[in-house]
Order: sequence, then C-alpha cells, then structure tokens
Amino acid sequence: MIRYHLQSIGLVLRTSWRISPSATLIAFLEAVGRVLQYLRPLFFGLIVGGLTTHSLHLLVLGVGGIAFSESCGFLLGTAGVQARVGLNERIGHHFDAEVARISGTAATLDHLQDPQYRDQMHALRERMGALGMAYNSLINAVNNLVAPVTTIVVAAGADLRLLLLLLIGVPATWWANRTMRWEQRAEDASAAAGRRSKHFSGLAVDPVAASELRIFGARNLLLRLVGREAGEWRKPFAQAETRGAALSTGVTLLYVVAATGILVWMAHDALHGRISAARFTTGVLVVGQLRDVVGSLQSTVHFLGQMLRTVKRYRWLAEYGETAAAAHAGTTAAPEALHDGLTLRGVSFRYPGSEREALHDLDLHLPAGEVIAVVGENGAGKSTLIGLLTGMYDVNAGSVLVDSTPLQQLSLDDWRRHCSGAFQDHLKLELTAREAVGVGDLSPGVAPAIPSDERLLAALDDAAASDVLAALPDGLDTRLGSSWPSGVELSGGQWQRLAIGRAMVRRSPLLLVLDEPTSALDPATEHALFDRYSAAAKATSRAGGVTLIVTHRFSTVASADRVIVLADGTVAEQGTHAELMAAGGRYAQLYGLQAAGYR
Amino acid sequence: MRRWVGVERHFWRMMWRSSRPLVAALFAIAAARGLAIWLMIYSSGQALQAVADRSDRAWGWLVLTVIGLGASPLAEAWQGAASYALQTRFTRQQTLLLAEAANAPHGIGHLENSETRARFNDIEEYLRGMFGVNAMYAVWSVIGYGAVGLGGFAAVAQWSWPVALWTLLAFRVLHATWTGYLDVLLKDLVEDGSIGRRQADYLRSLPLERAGGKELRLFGMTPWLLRRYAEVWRAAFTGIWQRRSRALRGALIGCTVAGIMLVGSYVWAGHAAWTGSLAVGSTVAVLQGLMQMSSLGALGDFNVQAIRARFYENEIRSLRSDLGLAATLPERTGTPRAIDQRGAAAVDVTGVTFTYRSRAEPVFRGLDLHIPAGQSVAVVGVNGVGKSTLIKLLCGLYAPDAGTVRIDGRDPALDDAARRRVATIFQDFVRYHLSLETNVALPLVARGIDEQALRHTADEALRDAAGADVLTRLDDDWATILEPGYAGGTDLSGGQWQRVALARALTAVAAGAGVLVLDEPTAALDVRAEAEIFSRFLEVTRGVTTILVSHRLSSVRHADRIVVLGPEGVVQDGTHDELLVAGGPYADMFRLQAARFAAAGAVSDQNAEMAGESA
Repeated sequence: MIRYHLQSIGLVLRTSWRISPSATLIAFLEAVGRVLQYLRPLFFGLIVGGLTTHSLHLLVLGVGGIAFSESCGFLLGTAGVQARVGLNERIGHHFDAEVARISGTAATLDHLQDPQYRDQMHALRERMGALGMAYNSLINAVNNLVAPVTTIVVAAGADLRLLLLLLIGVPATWWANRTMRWEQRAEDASAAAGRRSKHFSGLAVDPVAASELRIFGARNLLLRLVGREAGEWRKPFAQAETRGAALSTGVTLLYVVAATGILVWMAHDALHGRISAARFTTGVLVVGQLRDVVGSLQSTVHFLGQMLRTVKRYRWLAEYGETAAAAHAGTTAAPEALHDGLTLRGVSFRYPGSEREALHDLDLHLPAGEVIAVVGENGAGKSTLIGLLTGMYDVNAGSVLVDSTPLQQLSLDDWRRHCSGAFQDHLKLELTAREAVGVGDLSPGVAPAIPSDERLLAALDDAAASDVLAALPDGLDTRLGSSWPSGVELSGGQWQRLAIGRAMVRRSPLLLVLDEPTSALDPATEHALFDRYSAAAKATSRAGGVTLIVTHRFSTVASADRVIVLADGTVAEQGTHAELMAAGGRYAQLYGLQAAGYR
Repeated sequence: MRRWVGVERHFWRMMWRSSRPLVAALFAIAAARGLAIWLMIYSSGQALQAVADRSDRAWGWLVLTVIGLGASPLAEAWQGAASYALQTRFTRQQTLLLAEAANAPHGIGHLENSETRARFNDIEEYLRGMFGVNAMYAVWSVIGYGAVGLGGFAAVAQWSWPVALWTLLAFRVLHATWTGYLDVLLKDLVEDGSIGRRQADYLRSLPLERAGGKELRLFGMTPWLLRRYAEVWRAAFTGIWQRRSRALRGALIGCTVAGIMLVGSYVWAGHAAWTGSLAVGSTVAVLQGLMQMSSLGALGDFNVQAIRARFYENEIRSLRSDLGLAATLPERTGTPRAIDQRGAAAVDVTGVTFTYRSRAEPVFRGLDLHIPAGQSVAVVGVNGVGKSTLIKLLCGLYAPDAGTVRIDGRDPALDDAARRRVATIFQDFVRYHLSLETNVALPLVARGIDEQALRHTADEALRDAAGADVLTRLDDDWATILEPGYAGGTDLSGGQWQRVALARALTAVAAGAGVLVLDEPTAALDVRAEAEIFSRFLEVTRGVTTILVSHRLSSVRHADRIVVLGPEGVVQDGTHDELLVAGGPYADMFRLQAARFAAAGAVSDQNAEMAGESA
C-alpha cells in the first residue's frame, strides 16, 4: 500500500519535473518561507535573551530573523505561487489529455457503460485539470507538514513541558475526524439537491426549456424550484460548519485551560529564576502555534489523501485502459475486399449491467456486396447488431467473422478504417464544418489530417447535404454550434446530413452502416439520399462491401437486396421483400401498417 | 475608482439583503478577532515585562494573554460557521437572480444570442465552482484578517505612530502589488482566455462522452482530437503565460520594495530596544504587532476569491441591467392566473416577415396563414423552410419584424395569457428531473393546482398520448422521478418520453389552451406506437385547433387541411385529397413516399386488414 502511494507521488513529481524542472523546485520555495515563519517564537526568544543579557549579536540575530522571514516570505511566496499555478495548468492539461486518450482509444464502448468506470471518470472530468489540483494538493501537504515539524522543534528547544500540550491533540484528532465526517456527510446530503439545482438553473437558460416554460406558464414554478433547491443544496454545509464550530469551541476551551496550566507553571519557574525570560517568551509565543500542530498534520494527511485518491483514480483508469487494450490485441490486417461476407455465429450479447440479453444465439450471414435492411421494433437489437459488427462491444458467446477471420484476430483499428457509418444519435461536432465532415476519413499516422476539400464536397454531395453547406456563411470554414460567439447553429436535419456526409468521405468501405440516419429529414431529402445510398452501395459492393441500413421506414426497406427482421434479440424472418410479403409474417404486418397510411 | 466604489457598494448591498443578522454578526465577530489579537499582544508584552522584572503582576497579564489567545481561534471558528450560513442564503439569492434574469424576458432571443448565453454559463459555472460556493468564507476571512492587522497596528501605534504608519504603508504596497498581480491572473482566467479554453475543454471532453462513442471509434478520431486539443489549449494559454510573467516581474519588484521598508521598521524597533527607549516587554509587543500587521498585506487565495466574488456579483448585475432588469429580485409574483378564454382558438398570421439576427435573408416575407378555431392543420415543407420558426412565432417567443400574429385576436408576443393558449410540444421537448406527475401535468402544477385535482387530468392525458404502458412500467407510481440519478428515480426510453411530452401538451389543453402544436410528435416512436397515437388523433384533438408538423405524410393526411410551406411562404393549401388531385409539391412528396411502397409490390388486402386490426 505504502509502495503504491509512493509510486503515485513519484508519478506526479516525475510528470511535473518533465514539464518544468525549475518550476517544480520553485514551487517548493513557499515551504522554505513557511519554515522561517514558524521559527519566529525562537527569534523572539533570542531578542529577549539579547535584551536581558545585553548581547547585541543575539538581538541582531533575532530581529534579523523576523525581518528576513517577513520580507522574504512574500518574495518566496509570490515566486512559489506563480510556479505552482503554471504547473497546475500544465500538469492538469497533461493528465486531461491522457484521460481522454484512455477513454477515446479503448477498443470497445464497454467502459462507457460500466458504472465503476463512470464513477472514476466522473470525478476526474468534473472539472478541467483535476490532476493539476493533485499536484497542488501535494505542495499544500508539504506546506502543512513544515509548520508542525518546525513548531515542535522550537517548542522542544524552549521547554519540554510545552510538548505536554500535544496531548490535547488526542481529542483534537477526534474533533478533526468528526468535522471531516460531517463535511463528507454534508457533501452526500447535498448531492441530489445540487444536481437538481443545476438542472433547474440549466432549464432557465436552455432555449427549448425556456420556450416550454413560457408556453406552459411555468416560469414562476421554475423559480420556486430553483430557490428551493439552491437553499437545500448549501444548507447541509452550513449545518456541518456550525456543528464543527461548536465542537471546536469545546476543544479550544480545553486547550486554553491546559495552556494556562503550562504557562503558569513556566511563569512560576521564570519568576523564581529557574528558566530564563527568553525561554518563557518563546514558550508564550509558541503556545498559539502548538494548538495548530495537530490540525496541520491532519491537513497534511487530508491533502495527501486528496492527492492520492485523485492519482489512484487516474491509475485505475490507466490500468483499465491497458487491460482493455490487451483484450483486443488482434493484429491481422483487415482484408482489402470481402469475398464471402460477414457472419455471426451463435452470438449472444448482454449490455453490461443489464439483465436481459440484447441478442440471443444469433446466426446470421451478411453476403458480400449486398444492401441489407434491418427492421424491427424498438429494442429488438438492431443497433446492438451494428455495435457488434463494428467491434464496439465484445460478444458474450459465439463469434463474428469477417470472411473467415474472427473479428478478435483483426486489428480493430484497421477493420474500422474499412468501415463507415451514420447514426441516429450522431455527433454534433461543434468544430468548423470542414473538420466536422473531414474527421470521417482522417489520414493514418502520427499526424492525422483532414482530407482535401474536393473529397469533402463530394461526400456532402453524396449525402444530399450540399445545400447545408451553401447555407453556411463561411462555407467549410464556418464554425458550427451556438456555444461559440461566431458559431452557426444548425437544425436537427442539417446536423443529420452533415453526419451522413461524414459517413460518405471514406471510399468503398467494406461495411457501411446507416443506423436510422434519416429520421429528422423530410421525404424529398430522404428520397434523394436513398438513391445516393444505392449508388454508394453499388460502389461499396464492388469491393464486396456490405451496406447495412437500419430503419423504421419500410419504404426504404423494400428496395434492399435482403431484409432481416429482428425481434427480441433474434432473427425472426429474413429474405427479400417479396419473399417476406408472401410469407405474411411479422414483416408483412408491420409493412402493411405503414403502407396503409399511403393508400 | 468610481467604478470600484460602485462594485463594492453593490456587493455589500446584496450581501446585506441576503441576511442582515448574519452580516451584522460577522462584523461583530471580526471586531472580536481584532480585539483578541490586540489583547494577546499587549498583555503578553506586559506579562513578559513582569516576568523580567520578577513581579507578581505577571499573573494577571498572563490570564489576559491566555484569554486573547483562546478568543482568536474561537472567533475564527464561528466566523467560518456564520459565513457558510450566509453563503447558503447568498448562493440562493445569486442563483435566483440569474434564473430570474433568464426567465423574465417575454421572448427567448436573449438565450439564443451566443454572447449572452456565454455570460450566463460563465456566471453559472462560477457559482457552482469551488470559488463560488466558498466566496463568503473568503470575503469574511479577508475582513477578519484585516481586523487582526488593525489589532497589530494598534499595538505598534501605542509605541510609535510613525513606525505603525510606515509599516502600514509597506503592507499596502505589498497589497497593491499582489492585487495587481492577481488581477492579471484573474482576468485571464475568467475573461480573455475563456473562449479558447472552452474550445479546448470541448475537444477533450468528446472522447469521454458516451454519445458519439461509436463514431469516435469508427472514424478513429481520438488521436486527431487530442492533437487539436493540445494546439487549442496551448494557443489559449501562451498569451496568458506571457501576461502572467510580465505581471510577476512587477510583483517581485513590489515585494522587494515592501520587504526593504519592513526591514526598516524592524531595525527601527530593534534599535529602540537596544538603546533602551523601548522596554523588553514593549519590544516583544511591538514586534508581534508588526508581524500581525502582515494580515493587512497579501492574503493569497482568499484575496483572489474575495475579488472574484465581487467581480461576479457585478457580472450578475450588469447582465441583468443589459436585459433591462433591476439589480435585485422583484417581489414574489405568485402563480400565473388561469387562462381567461376557453375552447378552440383561431390563429391568424398576417403579412409576417421575420429575419434571424444572425442571418441576412428573412425566413418569411409577408407570410399569411389563417386557421379558424377548431381546425386541424398539418404544416409540411422541406428542412430549413421555417417550420420551427413559425411555431416560435405562434408561441410569441419571437416577435415578427413586420405583420401580426394573433391567437383569438391577441398578440402572443406581448400577452402572456394569449401565449399560454398555445400548447406546444417541441421536437426536443424537456425531460424534467421531476415526478411523472409533474412531467405530465406541468401546466397544471404551475398554476398551483393540488395533486388530487390534477391526477385525473394527467391520467387521461397520458392515456390519450398512448402512454398507459409508461404508467404500468412505473408500477402506477406517479411520484417516480424520471431521472435515474435520484433515489427511486428511473429512466424512460426515447419513445416513452415522447408520449409523456405529448401528454404534457394535452394537459395544457385541458388547462385551457386552445391551440395544440405538435412538432414531429412521433419521431422516436416505432410503427406500432405511431399508429396507435394517430388512430386516436381526431378524438384527442376535438375541441382544439391543431397544428401538426411532420415529415411523415401518412400521419399528416389525418389533418383537415394541409399547408405546404416553401421559401416563398405558403405554396399549397387544401385537404389531402384536393392537393393530391391538384398536383404540385405535396402530391409529389406524398407519391414519392407512397411510391416506395408501391414499388415494393402491392400490399395484399389481407395484410392491410391485419394491420388495421392491430392498430
């Protein structure tokens, strides 16, 4: 355990050193300033000694020490703060990038559904630079350690009886633990109200919510909710603080009584000449500091603990990433063309944390070169099928074969480079339009780059999205998203078409998945798109590529080469449209339901 | 300077408003801290003198010293408790000021303006951040330290006013330098740097989100995103670092000057002590006084936080004043009054021209649309033709540049009651972290109608929205919170949510709305659920004017009348059958969708009947 913690401290210090050796050192200068500060009772003793024994050099040493600590303390402090803040930012940035890398390059999506992973991640992502703060905590821990150590040394040097006051530290420890536990409990107690308060405040500024609230006459209701939750949110902290103050009052009174006893004892000796006035001076002045010794030590533990917890989270994530990478160590390159197609053999899959199997013992062959439609009701397993084919999830049982190679043996990165797709829950990339589309086919290598504008324009054309581009004030250079001052907000359909454009940048993928990408589009656009899909599918099929279309719209389904009907995680029916209609089963029923609207 | 005074006065005024007794108590505590320090310094000096003189007076002074020594930490502890109590009220007030600012304007233009929106977000982020929730503690710590510094000042001034003033000057130099340095630090953190930093934060957060995880992997975007993150982050920070290191130079010079001045004070006191003009006890008191005066100097993080607290309080004020609102909260307005009209409402759009501020081209030019009370109208048109804009105009969320919008003769852009006659369910409706009951019956809950009275309406609305199974899933518990993050909370699927949202609009109708606007109400539903909703469409919408916006022409045809919007305004207007006969864009669109079915082979009558039964 100790070894693990030392490694954590080492990790933070090493990172800091790599980023800036000088700043790493300067940041600790604050601690030096603090040593001088806590030596003051000693300096006072020297002064009194100098004055009572008429020794100039003692006086000079004492006054010089105080003057030096006072004047240089600020200088050291300022330099330290500057170094600390700068390092904070850079270390935070370094680890933020690492965390994003771990999350973004993990082969599957499992981790994003894993509650344990999400808890760890939540703490790290809550704010930018959480690990920068870990470094800050380390410095704070050192700063807090310096004070009690110096104080104890000074007190012991003046009079050993003073150390008896440390005994009061025992109840004080209990006090500090209590206070910390109360704070912890306040944090827990306020969490739900905090989230609710944030949600309600967010509704007030969200344009859609603001619209609803106005129409439904619920603006005052919202204000009442905001007020109530904001009060509830902070109240537990105030209560914990009040209880802490009450307890602290008791502990302080106890301390004052003990300190009075010790000082009276010392004064008695001093009046009888058994100890010098100098020692007595140091004693009087160090008493106030001794009271904080236990508190400071506890702060050190607190800060160290905070830092170690944060680093532990990070290391947990890093290990998680390594384990995940090791589980997907396939290196076989994806084939250049499909001959047989894609096959699922006895595949079962259950989402992490879910009780129900999303797919159960599924056998399915997707022949090379075909356009295949997948239909089924909500929850039938359509998106899951796509997730498994693109390696987003690992099957629980059975196997997914690319021609005859199991997907596990392939390099997932390489396989995905041969896939493309658009989804209903597509990313609204608030970047420039060029970037939002161009990420659809980044060049491989260490410095990935956006493809040429011609290719992007062609892809947008394939996605029937040229008019989306035409409506943008600066063309491909337009920044998208209303979060940015010059950003242009797009409608749902426009975002959707950009997402389809992104899917069209890759030429002739071996697997093109279109997971309900047209739900927000009007019929004419959908029609135009479908024609282009067919064209794209033909190009795709030349390399044996499979095009998989998931849709609710049966009009689209009918012209596919093959239709697969999923129900309850398994294949209910499959065949051509004509075959399925003739069979008069589930497909024919659903088809009839929708077609009826057009007769 | 005047600006500074204004900011300061406003800050104190708001603090005072949030709780008078606590502010008064905090002042008393601060005074006690200053007094305790002075007592400790003065009596410890006297006690030492007595000890050096071997005098029994030492006992009395020793007791006073200990009292001072004990009173300081006590006052500090209670200052903390009182400041957190104040914080609770202060945060509540700030949150309300901000929410009320977003809430008060009649329209929503201010929320769609990215600059204003960014200001809201900035303040909100501060309020919820570490600095925001600890602001009062920091502010009162600074004041408490100020009092301590004054205690030290008094102890020094008892010996020599010039030294006391000289030292004060030194610490003020230090304070000014330090504050100047922090000001630079702050400005960068909260103002100039924010866009670049927000962009960087956006880029880094993408790989962490669950949404988009598929595309991120499929396209192998992470390495590229991280490179962009590093670039954007570096660009955002380079300027900050440069400014900061320039500021540091000034700060170091200031610290040196102040340091030399302080050395002067100590030498002065040391010299007086050596020459005997200052007795031993007084020397110790004076030196302690000098030391405690450092509380008047730099105070590190607390000062930063205290300055931030003022900065953001002023930000809230200026945001509110830019929106035309008072600096303080208005008196309680209570619940909105009931809608005074009943029954279906007529909708009249006459000669409306509307242009978004960010765009040059108007969305509509002279748009005319008149809907008699009780009619159901479907609005169709290609993406981007302005269907959503039309809805917002009907709801009075935007005011037209020219022309008029009237709901039963009243202007929804001016009259809140007229607007509440328009029950709308938007495509991206809101998922409230509240109970199922409130999510469904929001329009009634907002009027303060009690649970018993609204349960029946809510139940009926949910059933009409084909949402009976939602209630079944929640074991008939209307109090279930529809968000998994809370105790007993649960999540609904997209389709279930859509039915809850639809029920919400139906409740608004029950509450007196005369127009029902449905924007793609079945986008997240599967075939069966959609068919179920539309099978009851006519029944549910009886007695109300209905405006349906949908791409699915199979659902659109249920409407009494269909209006086709084009770039030039209303292109076609008639019943489904009329428009099919007349030919034109609607007929083309409908045939296009229908043709997909036709092309796939005729549907056998038997199947169609089966479909009819199951619907």
